Amino acid sequence: MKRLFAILLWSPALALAHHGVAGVGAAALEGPGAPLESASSTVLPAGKTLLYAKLDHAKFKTYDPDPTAPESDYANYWMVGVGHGFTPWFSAYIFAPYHAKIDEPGGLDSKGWADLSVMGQIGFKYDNGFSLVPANESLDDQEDWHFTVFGGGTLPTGNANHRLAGGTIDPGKAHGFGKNSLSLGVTATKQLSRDLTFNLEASAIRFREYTYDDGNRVKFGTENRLNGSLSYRLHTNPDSRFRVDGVLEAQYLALGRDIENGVGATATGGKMLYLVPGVRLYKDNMSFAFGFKKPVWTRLNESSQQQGAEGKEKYRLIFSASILF
Amino acid sequence: MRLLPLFAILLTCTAQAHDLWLAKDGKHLTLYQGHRHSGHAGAETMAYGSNFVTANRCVDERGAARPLAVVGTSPWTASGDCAALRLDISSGYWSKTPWETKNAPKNETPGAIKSWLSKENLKRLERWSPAFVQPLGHGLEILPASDPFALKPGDKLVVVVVKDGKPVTGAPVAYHGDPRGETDPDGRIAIRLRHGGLQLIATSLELPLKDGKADVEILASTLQFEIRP
Repeated sequence: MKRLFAILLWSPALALAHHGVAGVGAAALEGPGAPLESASSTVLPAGKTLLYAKLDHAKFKTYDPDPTAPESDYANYWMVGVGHGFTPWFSAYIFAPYHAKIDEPGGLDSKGWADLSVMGQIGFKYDNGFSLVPANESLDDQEDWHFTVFGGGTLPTGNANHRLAGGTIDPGKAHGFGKNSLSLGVTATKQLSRDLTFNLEASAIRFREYTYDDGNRVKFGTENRLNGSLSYRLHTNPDSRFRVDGVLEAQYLALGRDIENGVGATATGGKMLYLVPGVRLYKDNMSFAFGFKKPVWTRLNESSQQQGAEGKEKYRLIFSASILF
Repeated sequence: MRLLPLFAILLTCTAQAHDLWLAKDGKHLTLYQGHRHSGHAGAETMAYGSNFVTANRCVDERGAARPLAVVGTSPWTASGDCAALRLDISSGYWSKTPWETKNAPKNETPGAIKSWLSKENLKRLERWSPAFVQPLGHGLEILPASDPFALKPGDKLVVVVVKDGKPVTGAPVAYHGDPRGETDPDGRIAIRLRHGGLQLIATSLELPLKDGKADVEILASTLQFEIRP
C-alpha cells in the first residue's frame, strides 16, 4: 500500500505553526526567521488571524517502463487553513486539505478533499526561568529561547471509502482515515544572531484502525519526525517592508509499518532524511515560502516495492503563502 | 501589539535623527549631540545653540536637588556631584518645505508642508538609587526598573517609559539608535545591553500641537549610563 497519504495530511498543519508572526509581522524585518515546512516556536499575536495556503507537489521516481503497469506519477497536496491567536501564548488552527494523486496513464487517479485537521499550540519561553509567551516582546526578548507544545489531529470528514475508477478501495488513495488521528509535538527556536535563526521540531502522529466498506481493516503506521533548520536573513528593505531569508531544513522521518487485517503490511514504512533548501519572503503582512525537497538518505522497509511512497520522490516542490490581519 | 508595530518604530525613531549624550572629563560633564554612539550616518558631533539646554536637574541618591555649576552653554558644560542629572533640551520649531528644512515655525515659513516642535531630554545616571525608578521631571522619560549598573554586556534591562509620570503604551524604544520594540501597556520593555561602557536608550513620542506654529510636538527622551565591559 502506498503510504503517502497520511503524512501529508498532517505535515501542512505543522508547517502552519511557524507562520505565527515570524512569517508575517514586523519581525519579518528584524526578528527571528522561520523554517519552510517545519513547525517553529512562534505563536499568533492575540486577536490576530492568519490565512494560509500551501501546495506540495511530489514527483515520484518510476522504475517500470511497461505501460500496462502504471506507477504513481505525481501528487499535488493543497492545503488551506485559518489560525487565530486567542491569547499571546495560545493559537488554534483548522486546515482543509485537497489531494490529487495521479498515476501514469492507465492508472487509478484520486482527487478530493481530505480529512480536516485541527491544532492547538501553546507558546512559552526561557528568560531566567520558563514563562508563557507575553503579549509584548521586544526584539531582544525574541532572541531568547522560545518553545511550543502543539497537539491536535484529523477529523474523519473525508471519504475513507472513496472508490477508484475500478470500483476498488485503496486506503492509500482514500480521502480520509476513517477515524481521527492524534498528534503531539514540541519545538525550540533560538535566534543565534541578528540574521541567523535555529529551529528544531520533534513530533509524532498516531493512527487508529479503521474497517473499510470492503471489509479490510487498516491501521497506518506511526509517524515520528525530527526536523532542524537554519534561516539566514539575506536582504532587508525597510522602505518597502520586504525581507528575504535563505533557509535550509533537514527533515528526518520514521514511518512505522502499516497493519492490514492485523498483520504487518509489506512495502510500507521506513526511515528517511530530506533536505529542503529554499527561500522565505516577507512583504508587509504576508509571507511566502519556496522550497525544493529531496530525499538524501532512505532506509525503506521494502524499498524495491515502495514506488510512490515517502522516500521515493524524485523531488518535491513546496510553496506556501500566508497573511496575518 | 507584539510585533506588527515595528514599522511605526522605524518611522518614529527617525524623528530622533541624532543622539544626545554627556561626556565626563574630570569634574566636568559636557553635552554632545551627533552620531558617535549610533549606527546613524552623519557627523560624529554637531554644534548647537547657546539656548539649547532649557533646564537642568541634578539630584543625589535620595532624589534631593544638588547644586550644579554651569560653566558653558555651547557646548553645555557643568560640574556637580549628581547621582542623576536630567537636561531638558529644545531646538525649537522646525518646518519642512519642498526645498529645505528650516529651524523656524510654520507661520514664518512660506510653503511649509510639515512642521514640528522639538522637545528632548537626556538623563544620565552616575550611580544607582531605588529613587531612580521615579521620574526626575515632567514630560517623557525613561526609567530603569532595576539597577542597571549591576548588569553586564548581554544582560537585559527592563525600562519603563512614562509621560508626566504615567506609563506610555506603544512607545518605540531604541538602543544606540537601533529600534528594539514598543512598550507594553505598563510602559515596559526589555532592552539587551550589547556592550560595555556607554549605554544610550532612547524613545520618542509625537503629539498633535495646536499653537499655530507647528503641526506636532515631538518629544524624545534618552537614558544614559555606563556598565563595565
